[in-house]
Amino acid sequence: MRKSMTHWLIVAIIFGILLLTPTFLNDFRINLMGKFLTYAIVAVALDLIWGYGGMLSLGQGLFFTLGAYALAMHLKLTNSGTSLPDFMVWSGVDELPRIWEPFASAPFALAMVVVVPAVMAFVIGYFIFRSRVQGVYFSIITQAMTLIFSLLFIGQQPLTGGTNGLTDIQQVFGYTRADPAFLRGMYFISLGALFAVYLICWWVVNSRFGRLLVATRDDESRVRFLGFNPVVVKTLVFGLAGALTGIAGALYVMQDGIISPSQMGVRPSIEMVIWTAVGGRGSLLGGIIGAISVGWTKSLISADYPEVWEMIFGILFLLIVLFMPKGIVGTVRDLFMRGRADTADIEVAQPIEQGGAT
Amino acid sequence: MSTHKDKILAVEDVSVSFDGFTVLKELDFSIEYDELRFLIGPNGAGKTTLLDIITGKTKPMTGKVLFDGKNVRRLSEHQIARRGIGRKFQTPSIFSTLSVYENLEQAVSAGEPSVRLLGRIAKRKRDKLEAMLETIGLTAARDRAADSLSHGQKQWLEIGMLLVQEPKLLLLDEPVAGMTRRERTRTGELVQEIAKHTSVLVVEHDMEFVRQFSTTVTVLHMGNVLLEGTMDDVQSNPEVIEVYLGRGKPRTGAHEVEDTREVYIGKTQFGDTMEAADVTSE
Amino acid sequence: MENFLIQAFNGASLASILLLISLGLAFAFGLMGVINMAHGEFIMIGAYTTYVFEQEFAGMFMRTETHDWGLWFLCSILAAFVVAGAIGMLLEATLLRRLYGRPLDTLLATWGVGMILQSLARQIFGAQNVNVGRPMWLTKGFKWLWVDVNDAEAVKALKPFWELVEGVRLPYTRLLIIGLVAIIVLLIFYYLRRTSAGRRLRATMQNREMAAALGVKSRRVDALTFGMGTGLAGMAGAVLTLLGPVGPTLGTAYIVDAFLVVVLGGVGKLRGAVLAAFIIGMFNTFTARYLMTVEMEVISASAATVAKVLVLLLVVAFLQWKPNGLVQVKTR
Repeated sequence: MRKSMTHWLIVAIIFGILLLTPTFLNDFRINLMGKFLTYAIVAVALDLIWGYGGMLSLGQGLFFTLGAYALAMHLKLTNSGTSLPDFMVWSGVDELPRIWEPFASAPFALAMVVVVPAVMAFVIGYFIFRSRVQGVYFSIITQAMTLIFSLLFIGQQPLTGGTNGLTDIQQVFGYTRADPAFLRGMYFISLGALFAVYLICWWVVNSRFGRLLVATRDDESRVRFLGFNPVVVKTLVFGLAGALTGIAGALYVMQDGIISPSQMGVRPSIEMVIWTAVGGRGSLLGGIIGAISVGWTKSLISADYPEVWEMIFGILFLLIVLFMPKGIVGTVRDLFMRGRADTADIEVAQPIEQGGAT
Repeated sequence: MSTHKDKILAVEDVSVSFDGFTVLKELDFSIEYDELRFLIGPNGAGKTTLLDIITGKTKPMTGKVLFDGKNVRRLSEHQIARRGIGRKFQTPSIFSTLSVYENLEQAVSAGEPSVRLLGRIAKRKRDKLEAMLETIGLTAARDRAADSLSHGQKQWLEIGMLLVQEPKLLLLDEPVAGMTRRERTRTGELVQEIAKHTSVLVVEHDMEFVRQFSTTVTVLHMGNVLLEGTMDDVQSNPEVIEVYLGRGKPRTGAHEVEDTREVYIGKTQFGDTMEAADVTSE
Repeated sequence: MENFLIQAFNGASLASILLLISLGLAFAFGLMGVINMAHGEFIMIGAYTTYVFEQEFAGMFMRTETHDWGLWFLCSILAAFVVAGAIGMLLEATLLRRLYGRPLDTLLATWGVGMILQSLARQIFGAQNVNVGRPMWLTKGFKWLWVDVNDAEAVKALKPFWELVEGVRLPYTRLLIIGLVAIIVLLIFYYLRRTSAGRRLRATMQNREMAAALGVKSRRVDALTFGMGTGLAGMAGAVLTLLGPVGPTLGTAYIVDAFLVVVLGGVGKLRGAVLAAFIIGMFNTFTARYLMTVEMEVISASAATVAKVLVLLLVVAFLQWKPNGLVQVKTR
């Protein structure tokens, strides 16, 4: 009883702070925070598969951008009115490509925000898990996947806008994107989405299904010999995380106005992992804390010292992995738990590493 | 030859080899309903491989595996498990970061579709679970992480996870390895209790344990059945004695393969001992 | 036909480079369970070592304005090996050792290291690419001129073959790469099979505890092997200066392919790595070439990218069939 009380109290505090945050920020910062909230969604979803499922995906950037592209395609079409989107004109396309046509419909585009990343994650996940690929193998393959897709998107200039991606989105569902009131609204919509995503993931993690996910991480062969098919469990969770990440991407593009293949590649995908790692894997709230704090730090440092940001980031990351492997939440929790024999309090079992390949 | 009707399990003409080493050779082996069978044999005899074949972990090159009269050779591990074969591994295989209760909860929920797993556990299953906690003596430890249990308690937890699924056939791979004498006796009694309404196959190295609790013993040697009978038959059989005592020099390739995997000195077990030594002396 | 030969040749040279890179990855993973995400940066280190070597020391190796024997280049390959190897050993001793048994953490930590190294390179050498001069004799290509064209008999006898290879010109740079890698692979085979150090390495790879119990200093084996792996990546970097300019992100272009080689080959298996590098190198080159020749209405992406997609699909499809890679030790 006490455990869940404390938990919901912390949830209330965190979301309460986030609810009040805009009152203290200028418009520019609200826009930034709004985007960080979408990062937080990504981090929570990643925690589901990595912290609980032991699957370290280095390809979440793909699902994020797929969701973003799906919505951005619709927005580009509505922005350009009767003429073709700008980049198509520049690359000499004189007729709307067939794949773009259905995206003129808002409901279709919104559905695709969820469906495309989910199906992609489903298919890729199914084949990887079916061949019993685990641990670092999974990481390597997802990394290759996201790299290759980013190359594909760059190569399809007339379809995707190539390296530049889909830029200059000014109107979002009839609102002016740069309008402070709109961005403020988007902040709260993102916050609401984050809350919903948190609740969904919390529910999953605390159900028998969630414990089955942890069980699969702990001992996949035992799961098999009990009569469960681990492929189903992992594929479902990977697909769910993909869908949630896609939603985050769509919310992001509404606030940023640009989506490009550079957000799809290996680098951004690993940054997503950093959000979760900094916050603390195996704790959904940790994902939120990690994404926002890394985002803030990055925007503070890279604004003043852009050339050293990369190095500081690298060092920071190294220190976290070396000295705070449980992240902020895990470390704080350990401090509170110290001296208490009763460990049943912990939100979930701690993540353990998968062993070698076989 | 008796018909399949009396057999819960019939392995027929099964051969397996790894990289050219024959591990099981045209093996025929069967267990009857509600039988308690012990399987012994020197290292490399193919005991663990036989369990792998029955549970679908390894696919045989030839032959049939009939469980309850149906061929399960082509099914995957979880499908076979769902048909009612439970397997306990040599080293306790439990979910270390879940609690004792949650471990059993997973076992009792096996086979439910994923969507159902998002909801509450059925009352009937919950009761079964509570009763099992009592049976394996872990009621007081229900909320402890499985990892923090003693070795013997882990073994019981794993057995409990299998029992709560009410399997038709239970495979136990060295259930008393690493247990104290008292734990061994308790486990033996538990196994006999289980065997009253379930078929049980026990692979064991501890001869004292086998003598104490067995009725029928099968001796496996070089991938085939050497002898089937009571422990007295086994102990007085000159061939068996030859196999066990004349084991100084392995004579076949199959032997060498398994020798690299497990070496027993007395009752102490060294996993993977010889592999590195082989390499360095190459 | 002539096209085919050139493609095969290019494929082989790509495969050689991939192999040189993936050997280090495969050993680090097979031995220590370390996925070294900074491996690409060791390629970059090797390439910059060659650049510095050319700038500072080339004059000491009989290079003048008009003459370049390329001796400096051969030496710089060794220098690249030593520098990248030393930095690798340093990384192993200071960082990786602390993360033993946590493969996913090592993956993240080494990625951080890679970022730091890239950023350092940018601070030292600038973000712009630099070019390394090429020894003169490497600028030419190999032609099939070993038959005296006046010898009618010989020409007649060789006619079918002659028609086959006529016009095929094999660049010396790529020949050098293939030759170099072949020698290195043979040396490594020899090292693993015939030397006691190599046997210690294999023993540690198969069973760390037991090898240690038998007196193998596994720490030293780790450090040496990891250093060897990063050294080989450094050599690959030195060789890559022949093919293009050097920049801070040089390594990232090859690293994902190298990872796929490791996955396809089966971890820690030399034979597997050789085979997988060959397959991926050839597959990449040939599909890219083929896609360029067919009419592409749907696929407007560059052929090289589509080839990469197909390689990934190939690897994933292959894993459905053999999850442990091409070469695997069957155990029970």
